[in-house]
Amino acid sequence: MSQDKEIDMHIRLTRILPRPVFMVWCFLLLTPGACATYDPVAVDEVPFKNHSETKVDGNVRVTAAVLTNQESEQVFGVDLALRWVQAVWVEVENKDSHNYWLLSSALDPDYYAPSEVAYNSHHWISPKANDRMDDRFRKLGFRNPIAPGSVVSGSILLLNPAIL
Amino acid sequence: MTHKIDEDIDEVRNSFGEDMLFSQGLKKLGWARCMPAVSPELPHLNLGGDPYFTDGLLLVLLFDRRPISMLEVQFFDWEKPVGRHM
Repeated sequence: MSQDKEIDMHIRLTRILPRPVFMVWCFLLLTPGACATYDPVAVDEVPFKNHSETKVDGNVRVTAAVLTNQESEQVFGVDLALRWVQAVWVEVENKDSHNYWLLSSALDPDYYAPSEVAYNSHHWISPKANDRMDDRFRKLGFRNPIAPGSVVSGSILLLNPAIL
Repeated sequence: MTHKIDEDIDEVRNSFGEDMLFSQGLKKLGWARCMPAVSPELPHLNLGGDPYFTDGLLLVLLFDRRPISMLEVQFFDWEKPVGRHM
């Protein structure tokens, strides 16, 4: 595009948009924030399991940890506390001969599906980052059932009781 | 005719199963293969053009007329969805 055309485009845009709106529009286009990245920390590098608690009942072991705001931001790559969401990590080991099912809605009726929280955390005009975020939340979510002889772990996302 | 759907249809399927467990009318449940798995990386489209992915398993629910405690619900020994580790 020649310089004359650029100037012409600038004049046209400033005529269409009020000057403050035009400046914000240019800022959004030119700043790195417009192409937000999504870089969560590897789960194994976040030490939330250090403050987990374990209970064994018969042939079933359950270990759980409530993630701190900092830990959940590292694991999920977004500030969950800002969205009133609390992440709880749960691991279930089933040494029984039949299936078990962890009822998330029994843990807390204010339970959110991972995809719901991911959608709520999406960046503006960053489809690739949003796709990675969807994938990350989906893989971190707890998925039933817990088959005999298996260990299943994942996160459950709840309404943060601190805001109530 | 169709409607907008959540692309992770297995999550919705299992959430529906949880709701039915709470209904105390469920006697038995299990999963049966109804189609090949579809990965999130290569999702399929429904008639409305919405993407979806799935492990390809159908949730089968057997209800009873009398109330049944959740502790008495049994599983069909069919296919098993893959659990996840974090």
